Amino acid sequence: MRKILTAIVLGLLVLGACKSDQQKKGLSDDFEVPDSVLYKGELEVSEQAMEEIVQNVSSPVEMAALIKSIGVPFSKDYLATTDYADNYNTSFKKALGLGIFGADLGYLNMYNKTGQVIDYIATIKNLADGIHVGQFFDFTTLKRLATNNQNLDSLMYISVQNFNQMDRYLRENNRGKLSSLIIAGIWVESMYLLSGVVEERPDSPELKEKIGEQKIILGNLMLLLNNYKRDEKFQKIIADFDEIATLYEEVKITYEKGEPQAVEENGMLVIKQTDKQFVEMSDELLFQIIEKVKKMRNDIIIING
Amino acid sequence: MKRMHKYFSYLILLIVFAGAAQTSMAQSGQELLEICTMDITDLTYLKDFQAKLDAAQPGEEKPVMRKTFMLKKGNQYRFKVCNSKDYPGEAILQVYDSNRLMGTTYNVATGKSYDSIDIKCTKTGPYHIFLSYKEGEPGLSVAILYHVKVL
Repeated sequence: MRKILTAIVLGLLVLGACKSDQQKKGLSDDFEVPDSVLYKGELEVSEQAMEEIVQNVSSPVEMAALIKSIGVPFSKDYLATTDYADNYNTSFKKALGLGIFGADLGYLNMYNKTGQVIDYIATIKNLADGIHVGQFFDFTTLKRLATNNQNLDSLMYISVQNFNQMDRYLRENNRGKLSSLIIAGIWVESMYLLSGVVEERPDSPELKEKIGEQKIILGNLMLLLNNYKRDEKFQKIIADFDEIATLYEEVKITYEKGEPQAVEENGMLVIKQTDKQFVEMSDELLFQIIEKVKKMRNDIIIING
Repeated sequence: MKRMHKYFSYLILLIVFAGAAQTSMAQSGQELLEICTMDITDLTYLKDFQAKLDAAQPGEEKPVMRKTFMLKKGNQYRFKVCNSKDYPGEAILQVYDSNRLMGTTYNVATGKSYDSIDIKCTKTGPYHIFLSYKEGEPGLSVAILYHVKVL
């Protein structure tokens, strides 16, 4: 009897320990990560700096919001097709694809195109599973929200948060290079969306400035990718980004300082910045950048296809 | 029989303690995030971070967490802070552009606190967020960055 009771007590303890450990990690451990995606090489930038750079690179939200705010109608022609996603057969391609479709999902969500969202979340889920981060992508909830066309704020919130969680998990588990590729994919696709709109509205100063100010963000992205320049698979993508960065060297960004003003609006504290930012670039340079970005993005799709 | 009774008592106690530990577990950062984002309407969530800081040691500066976020010209952003009920610390969030303080959720002069701070951004670039707790008390909080609107 004593043995049985001891076994029960031990069993309970082990069960408890397993449960809390799993809760802590927020994932199941029933997969193995191939060594090829674990990066044990020397990073030129510290983990902390990497995190900072990642936070400073890319969010498709503001770009999609800008496109919508200037009255550009939704167009599915800007989006990458999901038809070839099954052919994305390496972790490298899956991660880049995740970034591409993640940016497209942001654009779809911004325009409340819930019908088309389902196709993209299904593709994202498959790609995320392919690099073992699918547990962070809450496909069931997203599908329910999209299908019922309800609580669109939650749809956007869960989508963005899921991407943040995937990114955090990858970086915390020595798989930062996949996180870098997702971010690169998001940036390329966001630029592709913006470029498509600029081509249709070349006279919009806001859009032109948005393209120009990407010089700041691209600098951060290059720092991130250059960490993995010794990895053969990264060399092509880094070379492509280098070409874009070379074009951006001619973009001139200047500032005029102003004092921030704090005001209270509806009981909330609002800081009005009074700094001014000026972006100078010729139309010729603008379209050179656009062409290069489009070529790079289409190359990614073809590589993946 | 008496010994068996004793074992059963231990077992029941263990189960009771295990159950209590599960239900009365301290509020986690993720739970705090979920509570803090429950009332979002017309806001787009972008990023979040958790700040769990120990109490300041006597004679030392109070602990501070620093994060950097890229804000983009022509957008209004909101930094919102939610404090955990399990810690006494009340978070103070400060936003810096390079080394220039732009705003803070706690005005020392007036003693007034805000749970959020909006930035109407006119310059694309990295902005530094410093989070600490009033009086250097220990605290746990979640800070969330939202996109409010295009200006």
